[in-house]
Parts: sequence; C-alpha cells; structure tokens
Amino acid sequence: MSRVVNTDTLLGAAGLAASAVLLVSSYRQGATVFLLPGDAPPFLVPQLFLYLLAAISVAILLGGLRRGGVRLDARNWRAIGVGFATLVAATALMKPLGYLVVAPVAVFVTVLNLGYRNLLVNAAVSVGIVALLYLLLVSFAQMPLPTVPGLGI
Amino acid sequence: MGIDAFIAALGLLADPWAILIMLLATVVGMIVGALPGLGTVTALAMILPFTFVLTGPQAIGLLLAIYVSSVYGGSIPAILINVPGTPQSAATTFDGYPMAKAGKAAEALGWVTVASTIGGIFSMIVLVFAAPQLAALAVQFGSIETFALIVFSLTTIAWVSAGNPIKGLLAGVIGVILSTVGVDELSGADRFTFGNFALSAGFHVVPILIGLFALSEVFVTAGQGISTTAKPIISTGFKIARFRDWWAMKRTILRSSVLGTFLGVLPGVGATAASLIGYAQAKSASPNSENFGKGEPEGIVASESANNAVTGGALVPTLALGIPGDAATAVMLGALVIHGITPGFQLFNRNPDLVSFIFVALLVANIMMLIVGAMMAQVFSRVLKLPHALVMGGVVALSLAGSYVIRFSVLDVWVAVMAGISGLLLRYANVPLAPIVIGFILGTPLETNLRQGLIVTQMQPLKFLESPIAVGFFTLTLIVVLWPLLKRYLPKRRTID
Repeated sequence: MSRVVNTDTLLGAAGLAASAVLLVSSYRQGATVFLLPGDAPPFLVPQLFLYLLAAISVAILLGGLRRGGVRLDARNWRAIGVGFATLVAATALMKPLGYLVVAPVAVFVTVLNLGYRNLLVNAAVSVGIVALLYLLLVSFAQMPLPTVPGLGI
Repeated sequence: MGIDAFIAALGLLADPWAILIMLLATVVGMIVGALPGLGTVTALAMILPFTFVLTGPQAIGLLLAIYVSSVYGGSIPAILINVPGTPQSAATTFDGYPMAKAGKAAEALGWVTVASTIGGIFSMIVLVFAAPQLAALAVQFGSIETFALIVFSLTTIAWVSAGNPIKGLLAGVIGVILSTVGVDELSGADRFTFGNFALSAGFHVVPILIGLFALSEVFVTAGQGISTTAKPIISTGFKIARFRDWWAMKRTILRSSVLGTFLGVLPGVGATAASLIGYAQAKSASPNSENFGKGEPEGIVASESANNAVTGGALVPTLALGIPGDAATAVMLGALVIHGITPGFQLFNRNPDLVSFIFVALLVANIMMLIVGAMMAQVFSRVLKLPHALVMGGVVALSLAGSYVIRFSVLDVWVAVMAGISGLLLRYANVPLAPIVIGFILGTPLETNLRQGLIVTQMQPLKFLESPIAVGFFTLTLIVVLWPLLKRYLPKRRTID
C-alpha cells in the first residue's frame, strides 16, 4: 500500500471520484430540463470540463502509480486538524452565538495552536483584533455581523 | 488619454476620502506584502469585502494601491531578513541581503523603493497607450472569438504558471467547474445544488479567494510549525542614492521595466518570472557582473523595476479584454465586476472618465508607494518582529468576518473554510492555486460565449473555425500545450545532429 500512496495517486483518485459523482448528477439533472430547439444545453460546459477533469485525474493517477513508493511528507497533521476543527466550530456557532463571542475564541485557539505561548498577549490580541474589525465593519461600514443573543451586538 | 479625461480623472481623485483610502491601502498593502506567507492576492482578497461600502472610484483606488504596494512590500523582508515577503521579490534577496549585512540596508531600501516606483510608472504609461489600442481591436470580437481568446488565456495561464502543466490545467478546470454551480442564467436549470437552496446563487469569488489564499496559509503554518528562533532583523533607515548613481543605472532600469511590462501583458508569466529574468539579464549585461550576489545595487534595481512593471502590464489585457494576466489581476477583475464595471471595449467607449481615473489612480498609487516607503521603512522593519502566530490569528478573524459580509450568509463562511482545507491539500499535492481563481472568474464568460457561439452556428462547433481570429487563438493554444513536448524533442535533435 505504501508503494502506491502518494500525493499524486490521492489527487488523481479524488479528482476522478469527484468528476464521476458530478457527471452522474449532471446527467440526472440535465434529463429534467426542457430545451427549445437550437438551445445550448445548460450542462454542456460543466460536462465538457468534468470529462476533462476525469482525463487529467487519470493522467495524474497513472503518473502517481508509475512513480510509486513516494512517502507523504511528514506534517503536523494534529495541528492542522485542530486548526480545521476550530474553524468548523466557529462557523457552526457564528450564527447562534454571534461573531463577538465566537471570533475571539477562534483566534485565541488558532494562535495557541500555532505555538504562541504568551496567553495574556494572545487573549488581548484576540479580543482587540476582533473588536477593531467589528467596529470597522459594523459601525463604520454598516455591514452587520451575526449578533450575540440578548445583547444585540 | 485626452486632457479632458485627465482633468475629469483628477476630479474623481479630488475626493479627499479617495486619497485617504489610497494612503491607508498603501500602508496595509506594504505591511501584508512584507509579512512572509501572505502576499498580493491574499491582501486583495481580504480587503475586497471592505470595498462594498465604497464608491466605484474609491474601491478601484484602494485595490490599485494594495496591488502596487504589496508587490513592493515583499522586498522589505527580502533585504532585512533574507526572506522574500512575496515570491516576486525572491531575486531581491540575492543582493539586497548582502547589502544589508554590509551595513547598507538604508541604501538598499532606497534603491528598491525608487526602482519599484520607476518600474510601476513606466508600465502605467504603457498601459495608457496600449490598453485603448487593444480594446479597439477587441471590437472585432464576437462570442466565438471571445471564447477562443478565453480558452487561449486560461490554457496559457494554467500551463505556464505551474511547475507541472498538468496540475496547472487541473486547477484551471476546477475553477471553471466551480463557476458553473447554481442556477443557469440562460435556462434557469439548477446545477450541482443537490437540493440546497442557498447554493442556487452559486459560489461567490471572495470566500473562495479567502479560503484558498488566506485560510490555507493558516493551515500550512500549522502543518509546518512556527520557528521560535526569530531571524535577526538588520536595523534600517532610508537613503536615496545620488542622481549620478541612478543615471548610471538607466539602461538596467529601462531594460527591466520594458521586460516586466511585456511579461505582465503575457498571460500567466507574472512578476516572479519577470524579476528573475530582469535580474539575469542585468547580470549578463553588466560590467560589474562579478559583484552580483555580493550586494550589487544594480541587481536590486533590475529585479524590483521588473516586478513592479508587471503591475501596469498585467492590467493591459485585464482592462482592454477582460482577461486577467495573473491571479492578482483576476481578483481586480472580479472586484471591478462586483462594482458593476465590465472591462473591455465598452468600458473604454462608454466610460472614458473611469478608464482615465484608473490610469491616474495607478500613477498616484506608485507615487504614494514612494512616499510611504521612504517615510515608514523603519516601521515596516518593526512589523517583521510581530510573532507570526498573532498575524495568522488576525487572518482568521478577518477571514470569518470578510467571507460572511459578502452576502450576509454563513454558507459563504463554510465555503471559505472548505476552500481553505482544499487549498492546503492542493498545495501539498503541488497544485497551483492561482489558476483556480482565474478559471472561476473566466468560467462564466467562457460558458456564455461558447453557448452563444453554438446558438449562432446552430450547434455546429466546427463552424467556429470559420473565424480567422478564433483559428489564430486555437492555434496559439495548441502551440502552448505542445511546447513542452517540442522543447523535449528539440535538444535531442540537436544532439543527434
């Protein structure tokens, strides 16, 4: 297994799978569209490019298989996972809890996750940046962000 | 540009808010450009949501100032810590850092700032003359010719901008496919929405940009870990060389400015290649070539005037044809469209005052870059001392807010987060991200023109070949695609001979 798994085989396989799923979806949705004679079908370009995506993915996959034996570089996947989970949680909670609550926590956790250990400075910067952005966007530019329930800010 | 249009453009710039916004944007652009890991596209992507509350000219002024100053900003860490803030300034490290180590950081910053300004203004002058001519040529373009031009540009950008052409093409194709999500404007059919009503409006370019360039950088930083040993920053100042010394560089400046402008016009080549080629050309032509790499000011001047000359050059096809030359101008193009400005012949024909404003704003942006660079070099050296983790925290806060305010939809924040993690994985797989953005922005005009062309030719695509302009672009596309194969073949033949 380790001989065939490298970034190119993963990329090729992912591209091929995505193109297959989207092609199936396009043919299903395309069958329900009524076309006037002489009209260009709405799925023409997507399908053209999905076939191109499939062909390129196959080329990359074959290249990866032929190359083989290339190890995936060692990365700090745990830190990436924490960073991703932080953003997913922040996005999910932004509407119910409000930007002013969620964003400072997300910034604080991100900075901590990136290895910055001065908690006081981290907390001050997290709150400061978010407050500044809030003032700029909401008060100055009149662009509302999700509000904190009960507080209206 | 006529004198009336020039005066009208100055009138638009007389708005004190426009000048203040450009000044602030120049400072922000320089800071973002100076911070390693971020860059021109990230700066433009993060600032784009703020332009929604500005008038068209104010927004254009802001984006041009960010564009020009962020390219320059990358040279500051290149000189002071031997790490280019943006890839465009890689060649500046060759002589900039040795100069700084020799106690000439102030001189090096002086050379860089003035050379960047000259390169930028030179390319602006070329833009003033070339863009209207190119736009006038584009009058002959119908849907078939425009389709062929987009195919050529997209293929070239994807093929040339990447180390691996196949992966560049993959990125361009992904961009086009993403642009087709949502309700089809011509038939009203839902495409790839999977029953999700929020997806009917399709993806917006800003969350994709924020995710691909800003959030993916946060993930990359997490994956690499941040070095706790900070690079020593050489104390600095700002000193402009004597006129006599500048005069001695005139050939180098002119050569690099011409080269940078020309390479900027070509799709996909970009400022990084321009600065490296400018540097190499200067080295081969200079009588001091043995000093290159040891702190020769001519090397800095060559690379910096070339990379800043790309800014005006890349705007030529962007404004005249609506075809961006690189990722940064693709963002600019997206921003113009968001503000209801459609580049191309009609822009020059119907709105000459706005076109003149763009030219004048580019000139002002370059002059501001010179002034701010000269006054704040000391401040920028302090910015480099900011812990990178805190900078990334700021990127997260800005990304969450910036992607939300585009359409006041959490879906756009999800898109940004997903684009961020996809951007990270694509970067690990050595897939360039810029062609995704360019494919996304060119996807809609590509599809519209192809379908209109097919309707005109009664669904017979071979009739596209009856247009000589289209045949020309298709031939050029083929040459670009086959060039790597031909290049591999040609040296072999020579060896056999």
